[in-house]
Amino acid sequence: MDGDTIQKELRRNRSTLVVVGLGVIAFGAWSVVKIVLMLLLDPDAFFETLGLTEIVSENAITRAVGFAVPGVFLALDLALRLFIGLRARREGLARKKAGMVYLVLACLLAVFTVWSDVSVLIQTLSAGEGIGASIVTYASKLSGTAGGDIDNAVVAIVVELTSLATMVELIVAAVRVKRFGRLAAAREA
Amino acid sequence: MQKDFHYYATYCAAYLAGYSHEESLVICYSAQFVDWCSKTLLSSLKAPLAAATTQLQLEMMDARTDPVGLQDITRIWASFHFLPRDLYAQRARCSKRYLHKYRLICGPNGDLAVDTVELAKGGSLQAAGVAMHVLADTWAHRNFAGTPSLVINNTDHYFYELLPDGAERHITFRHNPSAADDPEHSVYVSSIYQGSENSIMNLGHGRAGHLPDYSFIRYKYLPAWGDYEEIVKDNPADYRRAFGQMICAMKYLRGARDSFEKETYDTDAFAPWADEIDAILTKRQLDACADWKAFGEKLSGCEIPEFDVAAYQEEYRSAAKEQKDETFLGRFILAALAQKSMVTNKIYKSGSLLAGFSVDFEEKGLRGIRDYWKLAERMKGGAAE
Repeated sequence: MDGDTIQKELRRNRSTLVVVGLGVIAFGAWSVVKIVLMLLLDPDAFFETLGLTEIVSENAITRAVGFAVPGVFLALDLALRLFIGLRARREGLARKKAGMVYLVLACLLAVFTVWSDVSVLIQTLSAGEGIGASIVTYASKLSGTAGGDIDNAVVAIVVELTSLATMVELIVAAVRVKRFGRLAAAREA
Repeated sequence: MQKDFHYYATYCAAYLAGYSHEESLVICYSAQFVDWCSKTLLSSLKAPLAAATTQLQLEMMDARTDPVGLQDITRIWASFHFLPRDLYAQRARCSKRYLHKYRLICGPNGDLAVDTVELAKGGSLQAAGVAMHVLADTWAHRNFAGTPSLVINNTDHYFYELLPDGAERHITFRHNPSAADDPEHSVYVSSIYQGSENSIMNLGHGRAGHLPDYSFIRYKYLPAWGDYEEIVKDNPADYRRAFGQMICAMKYLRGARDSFEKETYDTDAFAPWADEIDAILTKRQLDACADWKAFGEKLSGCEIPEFDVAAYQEEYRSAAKEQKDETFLGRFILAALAQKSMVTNKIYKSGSLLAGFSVDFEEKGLRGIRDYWKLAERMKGGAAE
């Protein structure tokens, strides 16, 4: 591969990193907005989705814990995505070193997401519902939202899959940037 | 390009091409007037609005971006400021819609540049001025298209100035139109990113700010159409070639040369002053008017008046209807109509509707747009003679 092609691919993948880095942050922010809105507007439906209805209805303390625990996980998820997204942008803008940590975390997050989605899918399918009901159930478990109709369910699934695709694209672009960066450095040496 | 080159440098080139001081003033005034002749100004003169050679910022804010509005915008900007280089350029694996926009990318030494100069042959000095503006802009505005298009004209954060000492400095763009450019820190104003393909913010070189219009700057960037190929823009070299090419073109228009060809630059004509011209072109300043003015006055020994947009307006307003075409602005308007008509026709014949339809009056027997009747009548009268 000649030097010009290497530089061109490096620029292309850095540009991708900048964009998908922002995308990862955006999806993290969207998750927060979605759950916060649910907790504000219809908390009972949210707890029902997570199977926590009985626990949170015991007393005020358990109810408070029922709000706090998802909040903590949300905050962790957002922090993780912020870190990954900002480091990816930093790598893409090529102004400072971004390290490998964000890439490792992105891989772990992607693997966890896939594992989680597949687990929920298996769980839904083994419940023995019809296809339409299965999609609705799956979407609601996936996104942590209440049941709803099939249109909302399809949208929810598409959003979740897009979020996963963005993360995968970030990983691929980051790996390519590192690869072409090494090639470019080797040529200069 | 801006007034320093369109007015003062064009005067210098005209003088070096052999025009007299007075003739050079007419040519350079007309070249600069291309940046002022908007529909608003024409409307105030009750002149044909189709002769507009530019759009004011306020006009662009109100401009429609439906297909008809886009055609109107493209007709003006592609005809006078972003002359397409190759209307039959090929690009692999793209849609027809993209290809038509790709073909509007401006560049020097294209067939249309030759057509522009030849159109002015035998015409008025105002026509020569219009042609010089168009020719000069093919160098400054190369790699941008005169149609609102995100996928062609967009740029991104990858923008570096190539400094004289060989270093590179990242260019920061800010989007405050009232802020001044700061070349010492490479901070410049550009239009804000707009994700809409046909947004007016994506017209021409807006996303690169005024960088193409500064003669001193060299920079590299990634244009949206470039597929991540780096483009290096060397403005001093391009402006030098533009100057040499204008001299060639004007010698041809005067009859001192038999033809005007691509890739020819009359460097001999300005060789005695090459260092002085290079010093003007490479001086880090946002406005080189004073330097070019001083150079022009030194060349001719005569004073070059400041550009006054209102200089010839009263003449046009007070002329009788049948005599308006013989006034200064009347001749300019005819030249502008002819240039716009020619370029629109060429774009239309290439299979693109981005500049709208182009009707051949003689062939089709149609009347078309009223503003162009006078042009057709002149051409008919010229043919009869």
